[in-house]
Amino acid sequence: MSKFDAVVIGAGTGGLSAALSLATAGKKVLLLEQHNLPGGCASSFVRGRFEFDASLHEFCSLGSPAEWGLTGKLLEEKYKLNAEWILVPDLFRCIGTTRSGRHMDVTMPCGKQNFIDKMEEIVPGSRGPMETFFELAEECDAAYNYFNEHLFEGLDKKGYTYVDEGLFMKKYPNFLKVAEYPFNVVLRKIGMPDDAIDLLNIYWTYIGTDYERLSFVHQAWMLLMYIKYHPAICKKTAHGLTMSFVERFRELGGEFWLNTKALEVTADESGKITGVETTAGFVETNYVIANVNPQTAYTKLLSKNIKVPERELKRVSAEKHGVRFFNAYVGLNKSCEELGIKDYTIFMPGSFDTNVNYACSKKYEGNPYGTIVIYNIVNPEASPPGTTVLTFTCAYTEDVWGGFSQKEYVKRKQETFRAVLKNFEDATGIIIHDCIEEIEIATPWTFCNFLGTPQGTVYGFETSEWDTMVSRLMSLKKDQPIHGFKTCGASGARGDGFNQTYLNGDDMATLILMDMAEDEKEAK
Amino acid sequence: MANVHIKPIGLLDMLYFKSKKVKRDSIIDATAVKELKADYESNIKAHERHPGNQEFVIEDIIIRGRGDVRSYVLRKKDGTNPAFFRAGQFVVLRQMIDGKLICRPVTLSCGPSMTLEGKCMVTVKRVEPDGFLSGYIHDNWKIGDTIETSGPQGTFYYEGIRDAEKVIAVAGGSGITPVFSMACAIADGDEDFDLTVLYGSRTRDDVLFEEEFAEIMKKTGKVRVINVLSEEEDEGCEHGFITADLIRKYAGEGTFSVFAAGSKGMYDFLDGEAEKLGLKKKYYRKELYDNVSRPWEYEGYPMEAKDKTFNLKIKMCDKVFDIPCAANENIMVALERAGIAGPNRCRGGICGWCRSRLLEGTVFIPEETDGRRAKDKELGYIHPCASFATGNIYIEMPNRRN
Repeated sequence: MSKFDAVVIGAGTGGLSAALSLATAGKKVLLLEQHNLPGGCASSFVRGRFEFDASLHEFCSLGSPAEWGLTGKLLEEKYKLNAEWILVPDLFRCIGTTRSGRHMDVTMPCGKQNFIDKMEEIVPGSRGPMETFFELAEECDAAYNYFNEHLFEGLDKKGYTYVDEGLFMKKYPNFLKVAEYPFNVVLRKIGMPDDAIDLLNIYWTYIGTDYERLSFVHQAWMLLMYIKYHPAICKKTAHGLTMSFVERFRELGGEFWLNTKALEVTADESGKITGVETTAGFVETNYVIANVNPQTAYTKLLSKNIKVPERELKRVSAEKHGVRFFNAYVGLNKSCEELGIKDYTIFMPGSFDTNVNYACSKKYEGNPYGTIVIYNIVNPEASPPGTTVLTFTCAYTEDVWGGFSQKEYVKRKQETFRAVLKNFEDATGIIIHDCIEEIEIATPWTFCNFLGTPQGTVYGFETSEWDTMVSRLMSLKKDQPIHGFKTCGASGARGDGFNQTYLNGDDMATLILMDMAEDEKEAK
Repeated sequence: MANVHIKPIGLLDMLYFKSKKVKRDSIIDATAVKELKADYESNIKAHERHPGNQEFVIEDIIIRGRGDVRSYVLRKKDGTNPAFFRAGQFVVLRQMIDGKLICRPVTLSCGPSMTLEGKCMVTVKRVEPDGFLSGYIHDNWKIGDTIETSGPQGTFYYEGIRDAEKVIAVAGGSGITPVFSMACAIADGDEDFDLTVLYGSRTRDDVLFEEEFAEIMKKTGKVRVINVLSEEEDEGCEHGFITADLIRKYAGEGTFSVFAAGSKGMYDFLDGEAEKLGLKKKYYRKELYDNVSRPWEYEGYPMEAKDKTFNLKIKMCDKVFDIPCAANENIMVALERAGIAGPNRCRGGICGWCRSRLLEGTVFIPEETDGRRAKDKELGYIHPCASFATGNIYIEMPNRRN
């Protein structure tokens, strides 16, 4: 029988990070994955002469060797990964009609000054508020970094993450003032013109909550990271990034079992974790991190001996499942030059009003929001010479695909794709429907199949007005109340995103190390 | 910091920040505990469509051709419908023989809508001498027996977004099965395209599904079948091989897609014809090979390895095995012979289900069956079902589950 210091169940982004974090701390770790491929969303697949990235198109907060961003620091300095990054030069192009009725077709650049200048050019009078916005975003970034560095220093009397309020009042007063208010509420308060607000709302599907409810710090920080450090992708797709985790984990002596499903996290009668029953037999351990939604963990994974506290059951009951996707992966038999494609990310919001978009995302009919990513613009080696590889994405916030029958499913896929494709061709004048050599369409059903998440959600629990990223981080320990067992991934405190789930995996590894230290102390 | 001074957003902004987490807690406290679910509608539908395995009872056996082809009508043991699929897809048969699990892909030779009647059908041709599993099936499977398969797999299906509205299907021998499935789907309204089948057989007696095709052609004008006989002449049939000229004759004007299903020999010939037709990759699709074999017939094979037997060391989770591995057979077959096959599906190098890490030694991988990811090529991962040992090797493979 094998014995490990810790077992990590699931090699998605959160699980890989948790496993690597524990291995970095010198622990003997077993990583289990039920599929025969690691990565979860951070994966790729081959069709004909194309390799499609399953999801990575704009990695956030990487930074550069001169100054790593929050996640860059974790991946490069702590984990010492050997990933091959490519920076995205421009932020995005967006085409649509603003709330004020103005038709927009603009490309926004990276770099703070470039971004402000461009915004002033498009929306005269926005310079002042944009400068204020960046001041606030920078302060939020500094405060958030400080907060992250001190996240595990202790708890206050009520069990929340300890925050030195005096220090924050002195150093980051604006952070305290704006962080938790909804994004658009703050923008209006600083006098941001409406059309500029619309452009700053463009990323809403990256978090999946309308900006009348999403907290300021969550979006402002993400936007700042993109503008300041550039978004990044990996040279050999997200699978390349995943494999850099696997390689490093092995180097540190980690044991990785693929095609091995965890059947039950076992515990003795007192509820103390004793191991994991798997399809490859029983493994002994007292510490488990599961890269699954807590709902899945509590219904399918935990031994009956482990009593989930009432407060935790209430928390999970209160949460709403976040964004899930329609993704079309398309390989074209013509190059970007032949087709006249110049942009990497193209947003085609049906409306710039995120309230309207959020409402539409609850339905199948009339969900008009499309994001198109053309990989070859940033990575000329993304597909063979003379070809182009791109993805179309639409977001849903309810189980709208659940009502379809098996017989109509393919027709729904095709009809959705044709609608998004028509929008794209009409808006850009770029005609691609006659040069599609390969196409694969993923729907929420596909994500159910590969990720096993409730409703096929990719973003975990929605971060909404009452359930913000910061208040979740303040409740980090409260929300993981089972000694020796944690869940990680997009359903964790930081929400969705490669960067957020890697950070969350590391957070959960830290909580497990704290549980280990506590037990050692008690044993002495 | 704090260079910028902004007007208050609400009353008592600092308190707003401080109280946020407390307010969250009060919302949580006020929530009634729901019965937690792990599976919602989409989860259930996804599982129906992509089951890990399906247990079937053989309801009927239909003997075809010269008696060397048999169709098995299957009904799910638990009474639910078989997984719906796209015409042209396959399932993996999983058969225990002498305590060893043997897997092979086999096309679903019926229309997808047959699953809604609770049934599906697979067709197996007895292949000599390589057809270890096909021989076993013909000799042993009886009505009432229970058998096991995977869910539907594979990407050899019509996709209206990508393919021409007119399809010339070139089928050789039992390669007719995915094409027959497509014809059924057109007749049932599950697919909508114009299908012309150029069906290559040696003689008239080798032709399969003739009556069924006739029925389909009565139902729909969108399907027609032309038998092309290589070893005899018969009325109403073409004679010889399926050439560029023959394809052009039946395709007529306008763009068309060629869907090919047959043996490596047929593909090698057809590749040349496709070139003559100037077919773009987009319009030329092939069903993947079943069980890649005879590696020396592929370009770049190191002939000195042929006919040798090497040692294969394999790590699976915490277990290590040592087994013999014949150079002439793919690594997956060696694992099956030893009764320790890890996960596998397409057996053509494409789906990646058997993805394993080559730790030591060298292998030969035919270029046309190399479906590996770019990073995996760089790191030395292989797909054992399309890899051949060219020396002693050591691999790490995902755990087997059966």
